[in-house]
Amino acid sequence: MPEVFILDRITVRPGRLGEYQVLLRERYLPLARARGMTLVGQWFTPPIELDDAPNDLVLLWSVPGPEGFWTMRRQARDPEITAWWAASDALTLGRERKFMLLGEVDA
Amino acid sequence: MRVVTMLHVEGELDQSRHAAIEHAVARAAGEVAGLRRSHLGRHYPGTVGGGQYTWDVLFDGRDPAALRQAPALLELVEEGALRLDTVAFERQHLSVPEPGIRDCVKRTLLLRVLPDTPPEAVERFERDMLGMPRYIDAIRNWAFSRADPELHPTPWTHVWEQEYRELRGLQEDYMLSPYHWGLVDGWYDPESPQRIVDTNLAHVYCPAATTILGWEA
Repeated sequence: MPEVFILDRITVRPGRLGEYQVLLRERYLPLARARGMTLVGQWFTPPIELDDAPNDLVLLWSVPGPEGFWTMRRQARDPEITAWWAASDALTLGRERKFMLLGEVDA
Repeated sequence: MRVVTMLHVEGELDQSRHAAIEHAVARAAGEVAGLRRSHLGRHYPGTVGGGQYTWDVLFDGRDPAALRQAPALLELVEEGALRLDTVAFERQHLSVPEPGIRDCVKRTLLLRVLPDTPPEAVERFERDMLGMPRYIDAIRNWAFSRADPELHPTPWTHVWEQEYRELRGLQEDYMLSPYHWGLVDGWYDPESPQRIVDTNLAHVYCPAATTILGWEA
């Protein structure tokens, strides 16, 4: 089955981008990896941390197919994950999560 | 109206207890005036949150509580052997393109949209749910309804019912469809900021010899 990609776009409060990335690395990344998620790439924009306006952090994850999606999803009620997103909300202004398959533009 | 009841049986369920429960429901169906159609389905393994049986009823009476108060069932409830979880609703979205379906799988999902969810979000959620049969061919017959707490008190807000020709239709076609995991599931996923549905669900499925959703078609 085709690889499933997960795109997180997280709008981080002004001046908190560095702190947020440390917390993400220490708290969420191990939980994500334990559920079969691979961090494919990570970016932030505007490409300099701002102290008077938000930055967007963009994370691209992958899981091995729809079965991998459900493996990840079945563990989403883990209290540690709930606690992580509650902590995350305190440092962010909003976020979205999208699920994707590989496109066919560049065959 | 339609009345759907999940039967939660307390304690061990051996064959004699199965027989006793099934006999009690059959008797209850005969005791309630206005009951037009009745089907009791024993759940397949793997169901979650809905007990051991689904009791589907098409009811012409006024008060669906009469089903729960049928003497044959009341006895089991009062002695603590059985807990009933009932939703009632009038027909809303229903599609039965395969009324002759045989030996099928009837799946019921009871869900609760979280309080204070903006009405626009509920409408978008309902629109996405209603799109599922267009993208998942294995869903042969289906109904999507808002539970009516005035007909019968319930914490559930919606009832999503489908009929499949075989279990594989539910477990593979439905679960692995990108429309499901890639679009609809965000409404349910506790990690998704889009989520509006309580994580406690009743997700159950049982065999049915003939259509249940076709009763009203």
